[in-house]
Amino acid sequence: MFIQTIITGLSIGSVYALMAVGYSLVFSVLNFSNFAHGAIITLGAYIAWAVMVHYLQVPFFPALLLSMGGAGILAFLNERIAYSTLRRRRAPSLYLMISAMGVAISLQNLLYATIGAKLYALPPVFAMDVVHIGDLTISKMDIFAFVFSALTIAVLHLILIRTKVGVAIRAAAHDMEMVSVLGVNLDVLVGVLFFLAGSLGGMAGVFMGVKYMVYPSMGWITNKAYIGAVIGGLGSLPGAIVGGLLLGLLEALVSVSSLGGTSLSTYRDVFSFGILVILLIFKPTGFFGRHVEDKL
Amino acid sequence: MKRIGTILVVALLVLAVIGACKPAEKKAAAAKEETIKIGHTVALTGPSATWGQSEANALKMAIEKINAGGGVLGKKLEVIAYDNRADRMEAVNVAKRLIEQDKVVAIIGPAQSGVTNAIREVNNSARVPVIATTATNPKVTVNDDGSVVPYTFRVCFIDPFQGTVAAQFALKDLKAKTAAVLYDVGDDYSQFLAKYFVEAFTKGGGKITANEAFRSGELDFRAQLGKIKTGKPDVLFIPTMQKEAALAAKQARDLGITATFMGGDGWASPDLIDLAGPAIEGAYFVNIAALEDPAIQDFIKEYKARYNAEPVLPNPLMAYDAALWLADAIKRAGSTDGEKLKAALESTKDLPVLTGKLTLDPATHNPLNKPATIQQVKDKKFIYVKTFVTTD
Amino acid sequence: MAYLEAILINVAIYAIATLGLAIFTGYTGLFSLGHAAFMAVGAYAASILTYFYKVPFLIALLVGVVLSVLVSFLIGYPTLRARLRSDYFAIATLGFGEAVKVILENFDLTQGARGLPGIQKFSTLGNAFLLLAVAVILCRNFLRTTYGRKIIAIGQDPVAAEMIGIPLLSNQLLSLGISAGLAGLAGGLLAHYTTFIQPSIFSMDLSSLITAGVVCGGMGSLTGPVTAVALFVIIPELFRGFALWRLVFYGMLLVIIINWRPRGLFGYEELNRKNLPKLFSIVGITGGLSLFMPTYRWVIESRGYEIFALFVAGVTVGAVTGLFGLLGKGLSLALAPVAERYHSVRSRLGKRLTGLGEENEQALSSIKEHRFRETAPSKKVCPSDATFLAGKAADSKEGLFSGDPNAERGARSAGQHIESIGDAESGGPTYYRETSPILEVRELRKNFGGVVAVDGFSFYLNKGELLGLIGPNGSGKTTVFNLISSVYPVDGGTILFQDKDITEWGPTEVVGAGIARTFQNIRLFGSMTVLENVQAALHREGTYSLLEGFLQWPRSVPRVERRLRDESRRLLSIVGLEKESDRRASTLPYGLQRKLEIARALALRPRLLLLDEPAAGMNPREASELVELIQRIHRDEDLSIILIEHHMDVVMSLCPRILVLNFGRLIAEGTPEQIQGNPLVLQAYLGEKAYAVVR
Repeated sequence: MFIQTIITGLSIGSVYALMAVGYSLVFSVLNFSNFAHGAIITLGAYIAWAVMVHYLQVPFFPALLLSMGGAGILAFLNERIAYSTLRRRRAPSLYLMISAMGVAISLQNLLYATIGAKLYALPPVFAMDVVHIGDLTISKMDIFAFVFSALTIAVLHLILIRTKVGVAIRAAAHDMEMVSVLGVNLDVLVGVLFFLAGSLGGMAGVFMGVKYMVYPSMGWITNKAYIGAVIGGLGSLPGAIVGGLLLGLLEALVSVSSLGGTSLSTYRDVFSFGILVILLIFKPTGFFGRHVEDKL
Repeated sequence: MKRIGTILVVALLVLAVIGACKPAEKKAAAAKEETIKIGHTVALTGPSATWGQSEANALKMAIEKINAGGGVLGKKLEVIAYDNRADRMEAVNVAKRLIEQDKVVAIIGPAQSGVTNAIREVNNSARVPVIATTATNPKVTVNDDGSVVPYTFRVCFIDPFQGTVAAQFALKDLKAKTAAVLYDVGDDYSQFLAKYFVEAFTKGGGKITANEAFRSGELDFRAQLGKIKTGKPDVLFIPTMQKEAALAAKQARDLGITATFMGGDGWASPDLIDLAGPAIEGAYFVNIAALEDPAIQDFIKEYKARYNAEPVLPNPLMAYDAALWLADAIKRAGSTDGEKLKAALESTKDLPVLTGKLTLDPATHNPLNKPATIQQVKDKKFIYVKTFVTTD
Repeated sequence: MAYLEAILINVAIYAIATLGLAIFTGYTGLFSLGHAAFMAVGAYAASILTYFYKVPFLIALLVGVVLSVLVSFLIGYPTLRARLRSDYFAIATLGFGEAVKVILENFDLTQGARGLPGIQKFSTLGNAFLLLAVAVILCRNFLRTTYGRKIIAIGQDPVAAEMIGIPLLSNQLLSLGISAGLAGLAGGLLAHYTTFIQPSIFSMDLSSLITAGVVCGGMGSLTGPVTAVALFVIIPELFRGFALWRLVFYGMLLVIIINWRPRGLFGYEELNRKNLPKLFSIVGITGGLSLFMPTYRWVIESRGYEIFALFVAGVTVGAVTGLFGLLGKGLSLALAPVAERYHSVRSRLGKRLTGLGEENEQALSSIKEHRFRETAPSKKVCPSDATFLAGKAADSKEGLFSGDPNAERGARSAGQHIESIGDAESGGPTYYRETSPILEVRELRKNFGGVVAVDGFSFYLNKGELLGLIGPNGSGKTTVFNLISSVYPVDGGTILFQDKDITEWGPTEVVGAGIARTFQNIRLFGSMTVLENVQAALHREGTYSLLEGFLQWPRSVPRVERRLRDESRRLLSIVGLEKESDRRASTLPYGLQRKLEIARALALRPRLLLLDEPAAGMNPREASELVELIQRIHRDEDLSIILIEHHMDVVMSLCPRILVLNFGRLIAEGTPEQIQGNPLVLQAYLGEKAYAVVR
């Protein structure tokens, strides 16, 4: 049962981690919390629903690619419309955060107003198949999602360290002005960044749609991913992964424990939040975050 | 001024776009002569819209039928329906608008216990009767001190009955000895139904192996289900709406839980089958009415002919019954005055309605002897299993 | 009409909550996503009291407010103490909001998800608007006190605020507390208006609504957010059919406003005569839209004539809007003379009351002028230190901009081995040895990562001395200031000020001990007026309590405030800025901003003033004025001063003793003449190769 709980925790955590990576990627360069990431994830899931169920019967992998591409483009557009003006004006990060929140509110409710609140399921990739190891059961979709997420993050890592754009992104994460002085077109760079983050979000959305279901407020779950990212340290990719997985594990473990006869499962958000605050007190930048100092 | 002009143009364009997108509001044909206005507060959008839209359709049918029969007190009835999205705050606004602006004599709906509780103060202080359609929580019509809420009524059964029916069906028909419960702590319907099931099941000699909860909005219950699995229950009772029930069923089967799933009337949406797929096959749930009920076949035929779809039970039936009940009460009261209407509603006895005969218990404002049906999910359909009228 | 009443009560309730968020997010710049949770606390506390214990409504409300404030400290203390940057703080509050809901869902007292139905309806149009008015007045009063100015200052620039001795934590907590208190009040009113509460009411949607109100109304304004949220509540009521689209529009509005009109409705200003046309045109649009509603019905029903109907509807909206716009403009024009007269009468009255007649002011200004004439104009100033030094050494201009890395490396080694000579030399001249040192720094050390910024730097400063600190860019001068004023923790060494060890003291304690500073990159509170910038620094002298500040009563509060204002004017007149006192600091020209920084530092009543490149960016005339100013304050205010400056002429004409820093070490010390002739200094500034060329 304990090991089963750990498996569940990792499965939940991997979704958080995948969401947190896209979120952290944007943070690392632009230094603001992209609260619209949840909405992009939701739209990614709806794209998959549209091509897999509603309009066409596209198989899973092409649909996943379409979703990732579509969500990437949406994230790119999101940046162009809602952030680029502020970015060029070097507005405080509070403004970007508010703009992102506006996008999130708008998009989620746009879904309610147009497609409606009806719940949809994406067709399963592996029909109800689970792997049994002794008494343990692991769903194939979990394994698949876990491996595929890990692969994608590995590819992202390679992009960041091997390609020119990736190097530019990492350099920009240190000093955006310097990078622009060196002749890198910041608009292109940020565009690529958002496309990557959006694609990851789209993928997270599709996995969520298959594992759970598709509905307008599914982006709510990204709140947990934000908390994961903060625990790991905003702007750090390994931090996002570790933070997301840790949060998933914590939630699963809290859900099965009880205190003095009462089950703690309904209190697990209090624990997530509690650990966040405690961590921030002792390690204000999370596990992997870097400390930024102002120049006076 | 230039900027204001731009703003205006944009605002107009937006409005035009919305106007194009939005279907014309559902509104009863505006009768020229004086009418008796009845309010309908209903979820036409949002997660409960499946039932709400069906409910609105059925109410329209009922009112037309009453009007075709000459109306009430020589006047025609008119329904004014507003969308409450099953949102509590929104419902308060809607109720205020119905009562204070549209001057309705009574309100049909809401369909949810929480929403009915939310508008309690509004309609009771204005002395406008509310007939809730599927609000099954006992506290909707009865105050904490046991006194009845004067202007709130309902046409459906209550959760203790529903919970008892589910428990007895599990004990007697399914021969279950152990049961586990997974409910939504953020939803009062779910919280209370779970409580009543647990009480009735233990009283009947069964054993509850696990009583687990989750928060509204959560998607993954595998941690809780893992705990439930270790108790190896015969029955897993999931008193939630269709979304959580589908997720829980899928995840429970993935974890290898073999228990029979059971639920309440929150399950009664075709969405359940689409969302849960094969995982939900064989599950049982309590409903207020079943499509197979011989008494309602005429209604179903008419509904199908008119809207080209099957009604999503039970809400359409309840709204239809509520309309018949209200019309009868207005007739007997001879007036639309709130106090007289309340007295007439309270004294209803053996009134023939769609789902049988309606008799009200004035002490609780609950209808007496409302039957409950047990349905099963079989071959992607809801199958009628049996009807409970009373429990022992 | 009852329906209208319902809408208006909603307006009042949400306006109070928005006012709360405006006090916090609008002024401190920290983003709270959990304000609905404070409303929940207030709502539950008040309703439980009236519902179960039959406590009178107003007392219950008050308890709710107090409880909200306490809960806000619970979340605020750890997160604000940890100095979380705004993103972390936002997410912490988001988590907090969820946690509060969880607890409400699970508690027996709060009846879980079912909530509390059947709360009595105590909120009325009367008491809701009364409370709103009281809240607005209290907040306005608050912002006019030293307490309010401290919070605005922190929001403008937390570092500068700390450097004028404003502790961040306690003041941010105060702001959060007030904010949560108002949210709690709004929650209590809401509960006793809707007559039922459940945890699910206090959702993100509610937080979003009030956030949208603050952003659209203007961060840094009180009446702006209140107006904005009022519109947000009214407009969707006009379009019940579009209820679903409401949040879509709020979201879009947030994006549009923050991108293209980040100051919102009124910006930093409050509702005033100038803003009237704006307000009226908005009211006009609202009115027009409300007329649009019946026409919309008609549009829907007029099959085949949609285009025509839309046209008619558009014209209606346009006409009404235009009418209101004109009305607003006319009204504001009509009001202008009235307001003018009111203003003049009030100021005349005020003067008579304070006894500060015009004669006094004239006397004051004549004294000032006299002082100005007294000091002789100083000589011409050269634009840059490097050229100055180079000019002294030789006339060669080559190699001044030595970007050659070899040259720099050479300079480094030169600097290192020359240091011993520098030390030997510094033992030579003794200027104020007979008086005791006010500041003594021993073996000061600071590393940034692997870079040694200050490397065992020791010096002393005598009481009343004016010491120059120079060195090439990146030599660690500003870091020394940052270490003394405790912006950074010290890695090694000790700092003694007036014989007390202040090495480990926090920034505000250092200021309290009597050390004030200015900044190389100007750090003023941009949205405040010039006068308010100085007033903010006088915060220690606002001797009334917070409660008195809120009430602006007893009379001692306005009196203290008047004294602070007069004192600020006096300080401004020292630096020659008294004429600019009502301008926004950010609109001042560069040179004047530097002077304002000096005035603000003087307001801290320092014994020691650290000036970080006060002449940077000044033209020769301005620089010579500055020299005069520094001499004057040095003499009149009985100050010890350390001056970092790149304008060599300024340093040379002001400082009898100069220290030269390179790579965090002292390389030379002496009189201006000694420094000018010192080859090590030239080498440090020019690099070895260039130095060779010059020689």
